[in-house]
Amino acid sequence: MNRPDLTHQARWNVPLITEIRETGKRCYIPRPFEAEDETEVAIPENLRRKDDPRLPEVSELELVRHVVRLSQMNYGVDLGPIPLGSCTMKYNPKINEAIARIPEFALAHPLQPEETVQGTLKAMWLLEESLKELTGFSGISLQPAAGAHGELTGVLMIRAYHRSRGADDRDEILIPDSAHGTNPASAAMAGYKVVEIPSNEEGRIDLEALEAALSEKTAGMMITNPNTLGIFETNILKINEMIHEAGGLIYLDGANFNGIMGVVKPADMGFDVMHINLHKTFSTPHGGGGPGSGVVLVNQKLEPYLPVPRIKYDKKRDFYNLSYDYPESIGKIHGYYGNVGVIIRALAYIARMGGTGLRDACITSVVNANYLMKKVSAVEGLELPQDPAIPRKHEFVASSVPLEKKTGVNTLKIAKRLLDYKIHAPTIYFPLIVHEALMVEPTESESKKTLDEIAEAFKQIIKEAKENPEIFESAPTTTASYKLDELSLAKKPILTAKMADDLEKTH
Amino acid sequence: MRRGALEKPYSPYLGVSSEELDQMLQETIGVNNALELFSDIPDDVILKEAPKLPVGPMTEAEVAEFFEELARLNKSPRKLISFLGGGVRQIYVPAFLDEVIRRGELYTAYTAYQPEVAQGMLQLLFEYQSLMAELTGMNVVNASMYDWSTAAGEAALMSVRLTRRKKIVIASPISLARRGVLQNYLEPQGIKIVEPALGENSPFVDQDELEKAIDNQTAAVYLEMPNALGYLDHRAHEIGEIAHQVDAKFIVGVDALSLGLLKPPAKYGADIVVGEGQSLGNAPNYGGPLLGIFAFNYDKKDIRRAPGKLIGMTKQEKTGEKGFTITLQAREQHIRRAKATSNICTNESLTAAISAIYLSALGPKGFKELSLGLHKRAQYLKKKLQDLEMVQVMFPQTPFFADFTVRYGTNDQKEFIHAMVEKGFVPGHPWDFDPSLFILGVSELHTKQHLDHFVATLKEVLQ
Repeated sequence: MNRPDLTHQARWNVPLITEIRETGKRCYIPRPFEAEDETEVAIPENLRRKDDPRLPEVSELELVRHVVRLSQMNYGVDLGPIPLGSCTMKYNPKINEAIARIPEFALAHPLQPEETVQGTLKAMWLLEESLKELTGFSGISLQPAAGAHGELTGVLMIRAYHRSRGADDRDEILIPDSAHGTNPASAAMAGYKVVEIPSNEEGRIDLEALEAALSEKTAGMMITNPNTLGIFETNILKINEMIHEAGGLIYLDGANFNGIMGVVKPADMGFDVMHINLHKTFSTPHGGGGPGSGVVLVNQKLEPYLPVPRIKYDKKRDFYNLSYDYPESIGKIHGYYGNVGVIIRALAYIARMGGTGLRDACITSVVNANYLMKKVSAVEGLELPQDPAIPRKHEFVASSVPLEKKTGVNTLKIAKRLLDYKIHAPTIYFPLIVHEALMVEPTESESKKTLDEIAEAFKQIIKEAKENPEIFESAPTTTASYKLDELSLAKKPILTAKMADDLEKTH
Repeated sequence: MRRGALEKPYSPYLGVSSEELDQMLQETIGVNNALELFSDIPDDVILKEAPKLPVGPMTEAEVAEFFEELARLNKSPRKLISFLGGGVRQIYVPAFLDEVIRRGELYTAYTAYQPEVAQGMLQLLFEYQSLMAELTGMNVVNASMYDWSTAAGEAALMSVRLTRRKKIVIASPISLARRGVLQNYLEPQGIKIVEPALGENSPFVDQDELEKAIDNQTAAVYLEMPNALGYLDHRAHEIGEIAHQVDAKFIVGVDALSLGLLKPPAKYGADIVVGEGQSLGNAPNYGGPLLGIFAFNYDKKDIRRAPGKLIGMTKQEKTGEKGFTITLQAREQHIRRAKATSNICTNESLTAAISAIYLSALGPKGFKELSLGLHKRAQYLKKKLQDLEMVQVMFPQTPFFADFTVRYGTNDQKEFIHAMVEKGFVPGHPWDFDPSLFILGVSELHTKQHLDHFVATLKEVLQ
């Protein structure tokens, strides 16, 4: 049936744009100022630039071709599936792009008076109200610019909470060993010691280990639920009760919110604070690495500490304003109010989906993940390290240990070969507690046909591993680039065009 | 109501139909109903039906109309001329730029952890690093931070790692927002922020106070060029030297657009340059996404203390052709976890890529013209305002780039702003620490007519 697509990704020889210099050509010419000649430059010589920066000189067509050719050497959701676990690479609706570019939204300056940006503020407020309803939380800030930024904000609020109660000696944050790397990094940035909690055989938090770790030093715990194995923490009510009893607060990493959205509200499970990645669950594009948005939601305990400003709606005047009047607030975490361009796109998505649509999206993503898990785990050479009878949520983790033992072909090699099949690799070697992990999240956007193709690709690749293992030495070979020499780069990093030039000169 | 499409106006975003879903459940997964897959969620908390949201579901046409109506609640930028800067500016986005950056291969891509299929974005980011290095004069630039404020926080943290000292001296007036972000990045690490007072009738910190504040416990001295009031500190070089005398790092914050006219901070001793790059091709979007610039000088050891992603150029193993990949990842959170140099993961890659394309489009001439054009608009405006009796131009002898400070002859700031807005102008924004002062900034969108009309309107309103 679904034959793998081994055709070639475009491969252009695109010179660095910095190589096209001193041609005298122009591309974008800034609007001149009519009174330029009658105005002096009033900057002392010692502060003025002497040499022009060495920027390219190209015509408009040359630059258009440069970028379009480069785009053809890139892979996005618009081209094919990106089943990266915990990344929720769902479809990015095109109407959202059009809406975010409406000049009234796009051109608004963050320091404009409130009366001139009522539409933007209303959009932000509507997103806030929608996310509060979806999660059950009572307070929200849209300020954090990414998931990790939201984590930092959340943990800083936990810290402010304890400090306001004189509990300065609570200096530990508990984090399961299956957590995303940003969790411990964010806790550390907020000044906490990180205590790792092991998972049990089911891949869930080990209650005995948790019990042993909780103490009067515990400021809180960061939990991902469903966790990075795609497994729901069945004991979550008990876990959260234990943490609360010990005096700690509970942070929910919402990276995996797509797996429970509209089916359960995190606040109902006892969480005190969570972040949501709008660039995952709410369909805004990942942009090849950003921008994202990591909005944070809190219950009443933490509301006083939310960043300022907060958006308030005055019903009587039908007026939205930015309020700074929260004396216990942690203050600012971003220069302005967060990534508003992303926020507008996310609201457009919610407006399209409504509550029923978001719940349907969640259910579909869970069905897709479980369907693909059945298909992939049936492939000989791959296994599920956790009980197959546990229903996964939006993602699952498989392991290639059996194949690796038999053929030497490991997860990295499988991932690289998948690229040849026009399928983006899943998240690999994560979570750290699974050997040779392949973490797969197909999202609700992918069709049954695409899921079948992904499963078929795994099957073919494992067949190749047994019959033709030398393929893996050079894979991928149909991509825009062959394997890259990362080792020499790390030893002698070339990070700019000038560094490359200088190196050439010394040779 | 008709059944079918109207019942699920969002179904275009779902990859499988209800019929396929049932088939997948029953034939492959082996359950009757999708909700069985949620049976491990405690009964007490599982929702019986979908939450009711204030919006949706809608068809696409309805969504479009809904947002057109929301947009109408904003003042149209055609009818509102804003004199606002502070690093973020209204700009004209060239049509070709918006067209190429809407290539789905680029903006719907994930972070380039599989470099073989992400050469396009990686090369654009490498070009961004290269061009930003030209602007700042530094030789390493990371692939972006969230914004100027968070980049400043990360620069301070890097300085603390490099010097093992725990004091940051702020050598400029900075906005309350930036001060707040720095506080949240530094205070949890036990790092002290010291702010020497401003000199009398001066937009700069007092020399004696500054020298007193900088000592051998100082990790870094942070200077903004231009500062929050818009002014350029002529002592920049000297302040760098004072910092270096005690082996502290010298961090300089910049408005990227100013660097067509102003000396690159590397030339006056900067160890780390941070700043805002939004105005290089990105619409302001009410303050985000922005582009946090983070640049420093290469040192084999120091680079391992740096935050954020770095894109490197190397060779393809098979052919020796050039190729790009994320490098020196051992500093990052996905590997070092609690010991990472920063928690940053998702950054502002697309805005950085846009800036690279925009700078390539400007070229050296265009970049200089743009920078100069802003400065001249501001100079022109300053001169016109000096002629008005009801406007006091502050610090009239002090150099600035494209933002400067005035005091309007009014006691009711709120009413004054409102009156100006009614007439189609935002007359700057009040200074956080003295709301009687307004900071004015110009943009490429401003014509001579706009400026003249603004001055005339001020005259009328302040009468």
